[in-house]
Amino acid sequence: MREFLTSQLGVSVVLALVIVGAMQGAVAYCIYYERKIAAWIQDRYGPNRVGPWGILQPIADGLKFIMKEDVVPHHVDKPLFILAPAIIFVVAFIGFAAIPWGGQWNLDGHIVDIQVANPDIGLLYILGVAAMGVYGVVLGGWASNNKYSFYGAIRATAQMLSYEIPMGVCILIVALTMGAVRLESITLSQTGYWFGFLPQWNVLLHPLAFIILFVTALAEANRSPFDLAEAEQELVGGYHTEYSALKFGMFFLAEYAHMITGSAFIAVLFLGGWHFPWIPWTQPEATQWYAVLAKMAVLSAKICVFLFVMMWVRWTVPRFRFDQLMRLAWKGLIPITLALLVWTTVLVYFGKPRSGWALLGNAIILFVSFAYAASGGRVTGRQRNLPVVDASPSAALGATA
Amino acid sequence: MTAAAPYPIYAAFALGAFALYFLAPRAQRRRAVTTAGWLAAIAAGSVALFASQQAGPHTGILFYCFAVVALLAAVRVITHPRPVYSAVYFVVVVLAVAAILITYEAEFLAVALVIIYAGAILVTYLFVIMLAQQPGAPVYDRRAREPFLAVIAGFLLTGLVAGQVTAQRSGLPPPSKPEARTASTRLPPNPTASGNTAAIGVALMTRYPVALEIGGVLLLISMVGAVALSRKRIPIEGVPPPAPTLGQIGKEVEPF
Amino acid sequence: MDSLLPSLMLGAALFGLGVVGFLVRRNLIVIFLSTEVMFQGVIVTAAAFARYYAHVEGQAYALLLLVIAAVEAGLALGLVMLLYRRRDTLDAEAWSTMRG
Repeated sequence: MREFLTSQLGVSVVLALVIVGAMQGAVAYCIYYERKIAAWIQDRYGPNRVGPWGILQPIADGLKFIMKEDVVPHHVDKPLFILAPAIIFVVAFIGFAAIPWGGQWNLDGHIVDIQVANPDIGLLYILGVAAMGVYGVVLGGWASNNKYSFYGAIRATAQMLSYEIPMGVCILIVALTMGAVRLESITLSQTGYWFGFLPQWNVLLHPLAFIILFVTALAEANRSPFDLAEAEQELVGGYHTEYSALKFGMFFLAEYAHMITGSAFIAVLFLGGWHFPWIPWTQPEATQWYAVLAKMAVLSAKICVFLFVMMWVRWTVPRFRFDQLMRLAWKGLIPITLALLVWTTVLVYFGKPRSGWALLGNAIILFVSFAYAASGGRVTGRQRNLPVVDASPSAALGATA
Repeated sequence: MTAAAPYPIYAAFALGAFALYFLAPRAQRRRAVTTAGWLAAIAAGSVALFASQQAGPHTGILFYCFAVVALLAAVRVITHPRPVYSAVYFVVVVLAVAAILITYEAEFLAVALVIIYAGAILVTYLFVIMLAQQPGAPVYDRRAREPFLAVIAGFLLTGLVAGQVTAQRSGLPPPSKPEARTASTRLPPNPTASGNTAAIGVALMTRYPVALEIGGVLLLISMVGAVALSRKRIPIEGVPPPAPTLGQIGKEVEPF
Repeated sequence: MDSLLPSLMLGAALFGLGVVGFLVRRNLIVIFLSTEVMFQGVIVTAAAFARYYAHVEGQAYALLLLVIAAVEAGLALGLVMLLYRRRDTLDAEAWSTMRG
């Protein structure tokens, strides 16, 4: 037994169990976190009835999901209707398997990875898992046999397919810069310093790719301002209109699980994963148990910061119109990421992918795209065929008067 | 390996052909016929398992598990009367094949298969199926076209090929020793150490650059073709196209 | 490492299922799905040979096959949509007017 527990397989099994459990709790508390942040932004109290400061609210919410009546309407396609939430839930949770949580642990002389699986293709594994997430949405919307659900599913699928392209290209940029597709190697090669004090995080080399990856992660998780699939004013509830009780809860939890996976992924690719500069416990050489805990805490803190920004965006920025969303992806993000990719390949050819030249390319591409947009290139501007709506306050007053 | 006559292989494929004939969609679906089909399919699988056990040491339980999943799902792809379910079962086929590729130490290929097939191609198939859906199950999904001749053709093709491969095993060159290959194309001896993603990349860029370029050009051509096809405004036959209003003239693409 | 035969059998069976599906079905989309089943059989075979000979050539072929599959899917779906909008049906028999 002790042999098994100190081997990599034993650690992986224990870690998988712990992560699946911890993530369900974390996802539940994400909802509490979101409601508190929404309340803070809107200058109100938020949930404060259940327990001190309302911290037992997620448990009450969960009980409500479980105890509601589980309605399966008679007009739905039953097998797919039941399959869809299962797919989206499973897909949202298996992405955690390849995330390097805490470097290496010296366990009774064995060096084990604090990672469920350390495949050679970890980067692509997460991309593949994200690609499978579309099925839950599209099958759920179709099986509901409801026009609004189907519109929501069509919108979500078109959006996810479109934003997977800039996401994949951003990931390719990182893979090219690092020369690796294994997530642990990507983290390890970000642990050095420039000029002796600046951490060699990828965000300092490719800030533009970092921002674009964050935007695509929002879109992949169907988060505001990309939440057109569940735009209440237009589509009732979107693809989960017909779902109730725990099936709806699975869609709901999967959205937050997607947010956490996406945040962890961006943190690993661009912010050095579990590495934090100047603290010896979070350096790759430290393999004691407290170092592992410190590394996990650092990664969790980075995830929390990303979650906060995502929620901040949700309660501040209005939703896109669908044509604006598509134009942003196809005419904005994809050309910019492709230009960045070409620049990175040139740098790789000259053997300097991790130098100030990368930053220079980012600056040039950002400047050119801004200049193009400002010069009426209609990158994110209004559509040509639509009538121009004067949104100024005087026009609104004139219309009512 | 002796060149024994591959009768078990022929038997397996013949049973599989019967199973397909019974399972093919038909006008009146009778439970007895479907049950007979599944029984024949199970028999075909057992005979095939027996035959491959005889032919050599088996590869491992995982391969057989995923092979069974892939074959059953493939049968459902071609026999299910509803196209949406066919597509969903095809996703199962893709995932099972990806798992089999992982047992072959082809992890990169497996993940590429999942991303490209399950993530992109099948979603567009589902899209088209859902958009072009007829109310109810139309007759062309419920009735097969010449199932008897089709299964005979399929059996003749694959059964004979498979039987010949089994009989001619001695004709195949033996598996090469990894050391005999040049370093650039060899799979690493211990794939868990570094994987073979880099080896595939090197092979594609150094040995097959022309094929790679042609692939890129093909993708571009297909993209242009798909855009051109879907931009055309097609008149439904028998219905005259609506006369363009004044503002539309010169803005729309001309029909064929 | 005599693992070639079961893999070749699996590849042949998948390919054969695809052939039968291509001949039997009348729905245009399911016909194209059957061709994708054939592709799966070929990919299994290529990867099995790659492992048998400890050589990446088979895997490189399989990757190029994926490219061809993507090209085929893009064009085929565009064509199917075109045909569907013309006749308002996905039945392949609707397009048999050229038969002698």
